Amino acid sequence: MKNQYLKLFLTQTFQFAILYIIFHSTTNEPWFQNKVRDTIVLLISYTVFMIIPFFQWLLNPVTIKVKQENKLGKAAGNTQILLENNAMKTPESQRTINLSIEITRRRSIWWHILMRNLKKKEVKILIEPVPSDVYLQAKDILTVREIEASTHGFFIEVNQVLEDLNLRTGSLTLSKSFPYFVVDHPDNSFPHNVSTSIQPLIIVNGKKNYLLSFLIKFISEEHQVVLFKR
Amino acid sequence: MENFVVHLYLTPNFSGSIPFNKRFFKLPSVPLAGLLKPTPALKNEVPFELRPFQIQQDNFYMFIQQSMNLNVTLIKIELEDMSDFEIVQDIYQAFKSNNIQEVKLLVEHLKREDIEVKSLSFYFEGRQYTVTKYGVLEITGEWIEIPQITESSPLAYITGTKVFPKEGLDNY
Repeated sequence: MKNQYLKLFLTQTFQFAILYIIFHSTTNEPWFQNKVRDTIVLLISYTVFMIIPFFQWLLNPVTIKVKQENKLGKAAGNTQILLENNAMKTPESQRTINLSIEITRRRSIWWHILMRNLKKKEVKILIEPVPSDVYLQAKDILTVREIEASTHGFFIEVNQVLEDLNLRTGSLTLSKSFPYFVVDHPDNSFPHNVSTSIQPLIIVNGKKNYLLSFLIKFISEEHQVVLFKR
Repeated sequence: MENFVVHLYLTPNFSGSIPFNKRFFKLPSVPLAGLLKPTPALKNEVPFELRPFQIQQDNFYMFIQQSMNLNVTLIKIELEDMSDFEIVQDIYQAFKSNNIQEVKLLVEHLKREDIEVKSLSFYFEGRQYTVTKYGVLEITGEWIEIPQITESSPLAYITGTKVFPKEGLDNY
């Protein structure tokens, strides 16, 4: 915490110093003489630094928050799976991870720009394990319309939710949850001991999009799956 | 009429239909494919990507609880742990005496104790079906009608292709 304040103090001092030098170079007066000018420089720089984060706030009309936790609860931390004879001994209910998505829309003019941008694009959240030693299967994968299987995990389509949000005005939060489990199958062969990380990603038309990252603020939580062989 | 053992796989990133084949099929409406014998050679031959598919336990539990509603007769329930043999006997007994409430309670017990169902055999309209939790189906019939049976028989509830009906409302 102390370090953070020190960092903030140093960067701000540095910024003020640079601004002061820039303003000073425009006039030929001696240093630290014109008190009025110095005060104006300080005030202007303060307001600029206050306005920048405000614009940043405006730039994110949508926030997508992805939370993941084991069905057993937050305290369980990661998901641990015991393997015996190449089959999982941990029952399915304890291999289930609850993934919840919270989509918040803020009142912002950037919303219309985002919606126009999205018309021809498909926004999806990709959930895949890294390294890909395990397979993840969403519950009711064949009947839930938002979910689509990918090579090792699954996609969640967001377009529909964003379009639903477009019908309303003002700020609004929607949340949905998609539980998934680690697949146990005789076709899989596992290494002796493996730890995989599941970090949701947001992709547009199959790849990352930088323009959209200004408009959509994406916060995701990582989840670890650990496999042991006895 | 022949007995077929079909291994189900998910087919991600693939949409479309494939021509008739004697060793595998792809369901038209859902990303599921069935392979007769999933040898590595056949897996390379199929024109789509395959990934393991596991049947979720909730579907098994729901199926046992609603079997009367779905007009199926359960023949055999195999559990993951052989020591839970007595519960299976109790479930059979409850079915024999038409005691649905008792069946529901016993299945709730299985759910609570995390006892997994390994496989399920049942009769429906004169045919016998078997499903295991690794997505292996045993169906009697002609090869041409197997995809259609997989999609329309009560098997579809277990595989998750169809949503279970609301109890007592199936006639409306």
